[in-house]
Amino acid sequence: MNTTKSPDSAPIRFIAVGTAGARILAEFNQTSPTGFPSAHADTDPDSLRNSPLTRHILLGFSINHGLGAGGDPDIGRLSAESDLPGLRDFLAGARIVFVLAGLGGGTGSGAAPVVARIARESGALVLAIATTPLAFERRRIAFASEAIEQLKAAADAVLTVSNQRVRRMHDDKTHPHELYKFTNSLLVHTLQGLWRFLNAPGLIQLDFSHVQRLLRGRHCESAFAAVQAFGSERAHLAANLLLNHPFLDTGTALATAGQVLLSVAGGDDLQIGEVEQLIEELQTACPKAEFIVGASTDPSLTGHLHVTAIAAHSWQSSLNTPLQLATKIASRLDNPSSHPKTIDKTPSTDTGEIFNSTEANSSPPSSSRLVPTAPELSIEQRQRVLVSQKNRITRRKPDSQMLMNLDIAPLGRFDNTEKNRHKGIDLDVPTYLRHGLVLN
Amino acid sequence: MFSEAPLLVGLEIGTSKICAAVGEENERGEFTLLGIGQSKSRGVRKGEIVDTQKTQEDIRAALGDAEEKTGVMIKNLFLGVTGRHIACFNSVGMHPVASDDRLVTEQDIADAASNAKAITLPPEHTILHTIRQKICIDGTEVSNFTSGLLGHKVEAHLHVIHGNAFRIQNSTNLIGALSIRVNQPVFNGLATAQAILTPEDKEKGALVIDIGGGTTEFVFQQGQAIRQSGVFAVGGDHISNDIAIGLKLSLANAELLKINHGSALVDGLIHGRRVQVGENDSGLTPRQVSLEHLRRIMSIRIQELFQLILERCSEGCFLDEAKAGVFLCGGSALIPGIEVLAQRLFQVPTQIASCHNITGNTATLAHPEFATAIGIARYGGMRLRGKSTRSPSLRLTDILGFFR
Repeated sequence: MNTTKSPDSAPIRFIAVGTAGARILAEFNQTSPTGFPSAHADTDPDSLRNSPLTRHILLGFSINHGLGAGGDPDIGRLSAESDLPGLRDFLAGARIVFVLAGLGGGTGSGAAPVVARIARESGALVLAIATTPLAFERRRIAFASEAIEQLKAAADAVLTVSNQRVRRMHDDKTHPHELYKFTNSLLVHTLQGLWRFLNAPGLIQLDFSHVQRLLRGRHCESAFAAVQAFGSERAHLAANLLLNHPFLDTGTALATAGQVLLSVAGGDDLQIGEVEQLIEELQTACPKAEFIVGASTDPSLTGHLHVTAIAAHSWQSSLNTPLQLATKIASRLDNPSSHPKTIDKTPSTDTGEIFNSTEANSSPPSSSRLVPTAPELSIEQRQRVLVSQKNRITRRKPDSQMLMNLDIAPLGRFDNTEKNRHKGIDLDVPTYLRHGLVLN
Repeated sequence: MFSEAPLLVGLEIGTSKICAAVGEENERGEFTLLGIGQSKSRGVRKGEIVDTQKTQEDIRAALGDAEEKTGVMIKNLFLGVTGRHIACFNSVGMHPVASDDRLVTEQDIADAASNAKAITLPPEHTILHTIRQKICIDGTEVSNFTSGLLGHKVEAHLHVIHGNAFRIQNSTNLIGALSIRVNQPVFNGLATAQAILTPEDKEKGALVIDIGGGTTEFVFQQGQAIRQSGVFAVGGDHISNDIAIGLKLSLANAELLKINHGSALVDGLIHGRRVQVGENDSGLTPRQVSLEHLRRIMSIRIQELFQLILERCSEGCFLDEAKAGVFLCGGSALIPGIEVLAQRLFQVPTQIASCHNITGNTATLAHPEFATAIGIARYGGMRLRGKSTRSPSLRLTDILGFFR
């Protein structure tokens, strides 16, 4: 692939956290060599020794003594925290960082959010791409969902592929390897799409700033798919494939999405008419979505049409868990004009660390005349106070999620008149509403 | 010669229009309509005045129109009242015959009737009408009381219509401010029935439904008695409002759509048909709405209204007794198919009413929306004559009581 932009103008880094991430990244590098640096960060030296990637970052040798995370995300996270300089070295100066990880294990679930945080702290746009485990891996599912929440807080955008979802697309006889291979190839295609979107010379070229504007500061859970088609009707075929793609909930994810990133790639025979036709068909099916389109050419794709769609279907605050809420509030107290970087405190179950951060953050308010300074406490007392605070915040959670009651029937002309009640019903409310008549 | 025939003016302050009917009555009780004055009503919602300033202007315009058309000068009038505050119910009063010989006297009946009126009304409510339904002596109904009957106990069955005194007084004061005297407030529903029912209809029993702009009055009259009556603060405005909300239109466009394309019935033929909304004078592409939706919204509202009336009429009497059927009037009676819908629901013959036994401009009399104003004037005539056809045994004091 031609890398027309020099690494300095759009420095993109790929970092795989854990073995699963490394496999995806290696496959991606094989199929479309980017020329941008990619590294494999892992807690397990053996895994790094067998790594297909050339640049290695060993995490937390002082913590796990070369034994890996052992499936414990806490060890994974602590390991990453202990080797921040190595990560910072690799990520410094990047504008876009792709973090790839297989969630559920110790390294992926624990270290990936830390890596994402470090990357974002260095000022880059962080895209986390992760797989989640199969449904029968109960414990790992719990780890993975926690890790996703943390990733959402740390990264700008999180794309996840559920292996369970891939599993549903295959029958019972499928070999596990095939399943993972499929997942990996899907992620690779998506990465390629994104990559082309950002980098390849194109018919419709989109600037890096477009992606940044779309993703920066928002946390989106995205649905995405990559399809390829060939033949004379390939534009029509690709649109159909996208609209019926199981990963896009057979098209509903696109229809409900606010914005859709669309990367179209073809060979030298790619025609602008095809791109037009494709967008036209998708736009007709999803009138609400705003399509952000990049089209590019790649001589190796002659005769083919590759389309990658990423539907940002829920723009929402990532601060869902009480702990994240607490850290956010704490950092707000710390710095009223909270810069994105300052709120990226990695949420953690480790009480000691949280205490450190809350202690650090609570110092400015306690310097107020009205609020007495916190008393000196022993470690046990600290933990007890912390647990009670955690519970308090947990109980308060429903308040922060209150929904306004919009169940108000319209009265139109009779809005400000005397209530017209008859046997408990308001006769001013349109009858068809009270009777639930559906006007389609 | 005109001095002998007093001028009868009925004024209806409606939600959509204010209407004044001027007529006169000869000595045989025949009513002649001289003319009708009307004006758009801007200050009334659901039958009640919400903007006195505008309403006063509108009343002045309507009365001026009537004076101009008939060439008379209006000095006093009968005022129709309606609104949610009007309540109607049946009441029974009892009185033991006290005399030694157990001869029922007129006084006993009057006492029984006053007992029936001695009911607990909401505070600030006043009785508008009490209509004698029947007199029973020891449980036996006597049709026309003549003295000489013996018994222990006299029962008077009355239909009582009462309303909020302040609200009635508000309208009265507005007219008083125009230096016109209000003879007596009349419940609109009662007046309408007098305008459109012939003596034969009354004898057979008839249900009159007057669907106005903001209110719907109904009166079930049988013989001289009012069996049931009432008001629902639901009218044509509600239909328009439902359309406006349901089809996301302005109220004016909804009104136009109702008049031009509305129907109380939804038939299969209109499925998928669309109609244009409003006038296309702005140069924009006109909006189109589904005709089926329009009619469904209308139909379900009208059905509900009829259902409410049916429920109320079924309290203590049977609608089957209305042998003459249902008479629909008021502006909303012009909605196509409304009589078919009513017939389906009430299971009695239904017709759009026009004013009978009245002479005058036939075109005006055929309009169902003028029935109330004409009825008020006609009711006034009956009152002035001092002999109501509804209640032959009504005493003079009952009548004089209204001329305060």
